[in-house]
Amino acid sequence: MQTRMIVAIAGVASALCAIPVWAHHAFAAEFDVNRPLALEGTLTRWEMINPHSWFYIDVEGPDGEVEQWQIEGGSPNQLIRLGVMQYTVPVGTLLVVEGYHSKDRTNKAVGRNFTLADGSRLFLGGSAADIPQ
Amino acid sequence: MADREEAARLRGGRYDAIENGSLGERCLIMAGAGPPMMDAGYNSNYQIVQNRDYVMILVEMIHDARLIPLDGREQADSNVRQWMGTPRGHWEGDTLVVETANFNGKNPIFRSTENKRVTERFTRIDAETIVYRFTIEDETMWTRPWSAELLLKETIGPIFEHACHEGNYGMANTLAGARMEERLATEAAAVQKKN
Repeated sequence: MQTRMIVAIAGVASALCAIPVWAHHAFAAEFDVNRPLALEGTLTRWEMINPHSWFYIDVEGPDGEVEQWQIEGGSPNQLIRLGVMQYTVPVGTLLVVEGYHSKDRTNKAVGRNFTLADGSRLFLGGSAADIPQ
Repeated sequence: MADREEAARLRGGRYDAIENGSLGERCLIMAGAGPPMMDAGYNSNYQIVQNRDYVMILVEMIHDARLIPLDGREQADSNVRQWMGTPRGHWEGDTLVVETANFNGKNPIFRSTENKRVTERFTRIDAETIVYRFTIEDETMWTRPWSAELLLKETIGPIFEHACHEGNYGMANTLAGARMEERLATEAAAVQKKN
């Protein structure tokens, strides 16, 4: 007889297992904790890919120039378990991203949250979850 | 051991080249695969499928499958070296015992070597819980075996594929970040020297 069981390692594993909560990479390897940012823009594309999802938003600067930003979120596994599917936030949605700038200072960041026009906030998982508020 | 440390010195810093990054960053293997199967940090989920002859453990992070024969076959030849070793399983009452040897040494736990041998014991104590105990021996690294115990709790499925290489932009981003930090440090040093 074939049996199947799906299990997860429970709770704090052990004192020996001193692995910090992390994403696929350490936060500090890619992003700068000293450069928090908040970007208001329009979602143009959403890549539900591993090891991290990526969100693309168009942000209009004070001079009217539009820049594209690339925002890292949690893995699809994490997001789906949080109840987020690929079309939870449709392309074209106006939103605010809170996160941290990439260390290479290009238009990339890791997102902590999306805040939508109605005030609701979506947690993005991923490596920014480690950073204390 | 000295050879390993010299090789590490020659490779340079962690962000000097992508080959110097951790195995997880490079999407090769994570701690959840083991053995021993440690907390992967997130998505530490397993699907266990069994029949008379095999147990298969699908590891969500990062999509490895452990195939454990139960037919009493001998341990593989020591020339066979694998990332997760060569497992051999048997039942002791209601406990599944898995003995694994022949690791390639590239996925160490606490600096273990290719001489590591792992004995795992899976005991289902109720409908929702498996007690997972393991013992590690590695005479090259430790003076005596050591053991640990974790709980595996039933969770809601399904397991999701984690095709880690799919869009691993982080590899390039971390190297670009390291180069920017070096450039900023060089510029700051030049300004300091000028002043």
